[in-house]
Amino acid sequence: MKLDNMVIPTGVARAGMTVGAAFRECLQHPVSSIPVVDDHNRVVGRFSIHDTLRIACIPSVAIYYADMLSDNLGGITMPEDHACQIVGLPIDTFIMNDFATIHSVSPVVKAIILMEKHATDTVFVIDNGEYKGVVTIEAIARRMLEVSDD
Amino acid sequence: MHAFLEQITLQMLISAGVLVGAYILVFTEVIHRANAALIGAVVMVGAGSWFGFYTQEQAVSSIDGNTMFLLSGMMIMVTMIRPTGGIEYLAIKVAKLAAKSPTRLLVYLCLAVSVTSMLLDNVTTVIIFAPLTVLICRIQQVNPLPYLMAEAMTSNIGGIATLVGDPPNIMIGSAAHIDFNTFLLHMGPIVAVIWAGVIVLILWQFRGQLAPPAGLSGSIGLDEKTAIKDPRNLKYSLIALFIVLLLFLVHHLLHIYPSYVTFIGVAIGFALIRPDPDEVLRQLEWPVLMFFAALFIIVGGVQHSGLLELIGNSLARFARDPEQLLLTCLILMWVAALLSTILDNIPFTITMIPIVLNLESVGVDATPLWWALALGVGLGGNGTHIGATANIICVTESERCDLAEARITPGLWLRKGMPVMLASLVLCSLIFTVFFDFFL
Repeated sequence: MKLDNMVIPTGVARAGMTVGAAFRECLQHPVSSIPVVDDHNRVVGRFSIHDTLRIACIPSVAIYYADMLSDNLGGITMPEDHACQIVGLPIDTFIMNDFATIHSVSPVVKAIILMEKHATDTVFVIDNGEYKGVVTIEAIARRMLEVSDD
Repeated sequence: MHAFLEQITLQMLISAGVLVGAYILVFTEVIHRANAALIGAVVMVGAGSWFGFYTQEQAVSSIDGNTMFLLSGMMIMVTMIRPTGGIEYLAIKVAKLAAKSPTRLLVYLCLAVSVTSMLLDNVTTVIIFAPLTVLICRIQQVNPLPYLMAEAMTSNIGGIATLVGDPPNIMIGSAAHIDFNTFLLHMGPIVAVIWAGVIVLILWQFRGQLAPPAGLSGSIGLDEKTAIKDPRNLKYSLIALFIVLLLFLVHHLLHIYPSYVTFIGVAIGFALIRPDPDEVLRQLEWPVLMFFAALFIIVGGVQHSGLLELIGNSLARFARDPEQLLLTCLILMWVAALLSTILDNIPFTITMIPIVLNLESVGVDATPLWWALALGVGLGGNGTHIGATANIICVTESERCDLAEARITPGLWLRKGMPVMLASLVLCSLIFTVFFDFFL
């Protein structure tokens, strides 16, 4: 299996972009993370839907007690006005420094190893400093099914 | 004073120098307090051997085995109970009883924290209760700040009530041969009154933040049934804890040490739960145990140099007078409390124990001094945010919860905690004075 068959070309995010615009870019492809690039188009971070929702919507203390939570969470809710507020925010505070990169000629298994190491389901493919796209865990699974069907 | 100075020897000066040096290292936290105490212990044994006032054998026998084993035994009991989710179950259950009133929620949570702190160590209790409290407050849309401060303070107060509630109590009980019942009987009632007084004061201090918010749902958003992660081990660890409690109540009749009682509980727990010993022992607070052992060695060096006996004899002239004994107790209580607001109360307690023992050996009735010491070091911890480890945990939790209004700053703790400490000390002094005969 070749990695370059699994690359999903996406747009990139930049500091100052709104969460709403970054969400749209993710959902269009659809991937859960896209790279954040600087003015020289170098990948400097990762924007992910998962991390953004975690930071913006839930108290960190709730995670540890997640299994004990009932359905009535009182003050910990996400009403419509809060959702509108979040999508209008700049992505700057939600940019993660931890991201995994790989070359398009790298073995697929390396992508899986990197995902495990960085606790993510996406790896950014970069060749000679140029961003090519995203490899997702779903893309790998899809390719495995295609190979098996052939 | 002149006669006192004339009796001071070179060995005494050297031992005092090592003690002061080690305590400066401990209190300034330039290095970890356990490392600082270990260095102090090594220097004390070296200096003692060189100048002939302290041998290696004496250093080893200075470590109070009953304190060390009681402390480690209780730590092992905690490592068996904690992963089962039993304490979380208790916290959720208690919170549900008071879900419709922020004031009642504070009182009930503090009561649960205090009772738990009477049996388990304060740090474990607060580590479990504080994050749960933050979550409950977020769901209830109330500020967690008053709850966190109140839990830390009432955990410190609850710990004073029993022989195993606080490390200084363990040391005092071991040195003075005070059994569990006697400790509970003498400390329980005064602690209960102080607890009630402190709760009233806290409710008044935070009255503005404890008003029920509009639309209070009455749900705490947590299901206690899912809190218990391991019902089998919870049952077994509760059986072990229950047996320990029963034996604590009669250990003086059976002539067995409290430390042996805890290890009976540990043995029963191990037999029933069959945990991986590596896993259990890894969770023990080894730095705390090392800190205690090293401090015992340091103070043992000062004791063998004769300095503590000299100080004790000098104080005995004052304390031997029955008219002055109450005053001595109150001075000890207040000095212990004031020092404990900024310094670790364990080194102070370990240093005071041989002095009080010496007073006892020259005919002073030391019994009320032990109670005064236990009350002073226990109550003093509430004065500042660094006065007790439970306070630091609650401050950290307030910083973690991402709410600016919940953040407990050192200044805020001083403004709220110092009046609580002073009021509790005044109340304690009044009760101690009025019922002084009870403490004899």
